[in-house]
Amino acid sequence: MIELRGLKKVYASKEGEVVALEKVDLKIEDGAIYGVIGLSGAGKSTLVRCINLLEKPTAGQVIIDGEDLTKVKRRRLLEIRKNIGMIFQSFNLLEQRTVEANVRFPLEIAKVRKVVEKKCRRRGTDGKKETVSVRKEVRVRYSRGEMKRRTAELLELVGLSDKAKAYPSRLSGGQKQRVAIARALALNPKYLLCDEATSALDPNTTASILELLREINRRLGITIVVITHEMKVVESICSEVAVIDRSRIAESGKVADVFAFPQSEIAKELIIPGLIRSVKSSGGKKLRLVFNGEEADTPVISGPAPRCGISVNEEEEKVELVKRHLKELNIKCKEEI
Amino acid sequence: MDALLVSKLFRQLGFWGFAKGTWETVYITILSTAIAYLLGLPLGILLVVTDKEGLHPVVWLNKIVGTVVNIFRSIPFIILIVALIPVSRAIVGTSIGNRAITFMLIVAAAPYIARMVESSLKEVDKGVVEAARSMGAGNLQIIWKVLLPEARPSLIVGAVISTVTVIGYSAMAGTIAGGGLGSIAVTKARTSNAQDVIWLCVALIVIIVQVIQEVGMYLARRLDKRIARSRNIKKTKKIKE
Repeated sequence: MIELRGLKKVYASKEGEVVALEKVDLKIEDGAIYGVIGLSGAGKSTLVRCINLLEKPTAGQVIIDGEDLTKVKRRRLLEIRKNIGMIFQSFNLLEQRTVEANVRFPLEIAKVRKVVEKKCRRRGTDGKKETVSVRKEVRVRYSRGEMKRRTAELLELVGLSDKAKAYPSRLSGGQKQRVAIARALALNPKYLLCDEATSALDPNTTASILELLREINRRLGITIVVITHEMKVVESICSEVAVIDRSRIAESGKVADVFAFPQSEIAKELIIPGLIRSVKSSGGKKLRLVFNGEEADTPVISGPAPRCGISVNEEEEKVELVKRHLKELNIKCKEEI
Repeated sequence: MDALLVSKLFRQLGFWGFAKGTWETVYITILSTAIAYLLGLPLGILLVVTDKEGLHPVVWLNKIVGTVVNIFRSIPFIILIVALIPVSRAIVGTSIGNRAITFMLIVAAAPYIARMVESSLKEVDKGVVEAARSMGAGNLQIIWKVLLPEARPSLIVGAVISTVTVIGYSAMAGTIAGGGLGSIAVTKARTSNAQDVIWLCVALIVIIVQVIQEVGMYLARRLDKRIARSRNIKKTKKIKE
């Protein structure tokens, strides 16, 4: 579990101190895909960098699996980081290395724990020399074979086995992000941080990368933290969401709840911006319909419609529109409306 | 006829005289650049790493090293040579000859190379360094496995520029301490007013510079994987034709 307690980050700049984060409390349960959404400059990138201490928080605690990262020694921090993969908006691949070598990079810098049996001679209790085998835990570098196997496995996972020998400059954005994902997963991390991972990609590629992240979450059980400014990203993969505004968490909770009943101004603005802008005011009441799965079967419009004073005849055209829209979404729409 | 076209010094030097001068210039340049690089590279890395936005900021150390480098870089080489005469005598035992020239060139080139290395390493994308940090890489690992390999093409270009600069310096050093094409052109040819010798020396130096430049740039291009795409496209085009 990732837990942020009273996190605060202040940058010193020429114009004085800039507060990037203030009083941030967050709990991210294992196995979740947790979204952090906010407008640019809200502090979300700083927030994610505080989780693996790429940015050192000014105050507060970052507790991962019971260990406070702000208190650990540097060597231990480097170990912990190996358990937290991270991907970026700009992919950040090593340009001078092949795809394969990029994925291998974390393996090259890490060490594995191995139990080896060592034979050693020593004087026994009866005074005679004897050979005993001693089990000892040692930390060794990955062997070439192990690296090769793991790299191939990872490239297979992200569907880029055929690009192993290519250089990043020959890849498309989506492919680069796949390589970055493979690289981030190389050391079997428990957590994966995504900093605007799909913001530089077109909608189709975004969808495929999100699908990959979902698969990773499901198949490998990796907890994913997604930082984004795009609603659709949160909508399509996240189970929980925190809305961040002007350095603070405005609200957080299950995606369905936050989406259905946004409390804070910023959440309302992020969740229903299109609606507010697109509906021309005709003086009447406006309804916003939110379906969250279970409620999709119940006829929502026919119930409240008369009470709201909407005459179905008059509104037929508009209702037709709603129906067509709902059909597109594969949601049943009762004929009697 | 012959005497009018070719000066006495020219004939006196002959093929082997010029060959020896060329060889001295080449080996002094390469030897001193190589040693200067061995000193300049760690200095450059130190400047980058201890920078206030570097991997391990140590502001005071950065200031000190930066200032020392700047001082050496701002002394005109011709003055540095004169100033270094006693130092050279103390350290390498002589103030004339190729050994002294090499020493002086190293002192002049190392700070220059340090700045070259520094600027090359600073070109490396900060995001890539951040990615390496996120993977739990230590500072030494980042230097060896990220900064230096990623900056490789730029480092090679820097090394080529440094080598060419050292060739220029070596000619200047030749005037004081003797050796190489520089000393032939400046000390011997000028005193006997042998224009043909001077121009041949110039031509030879131009050729040396050209060769180093071309080879270096070829290597830099060849080893830069960022432009692999365009090269491969060219290759496939050729195959198609």
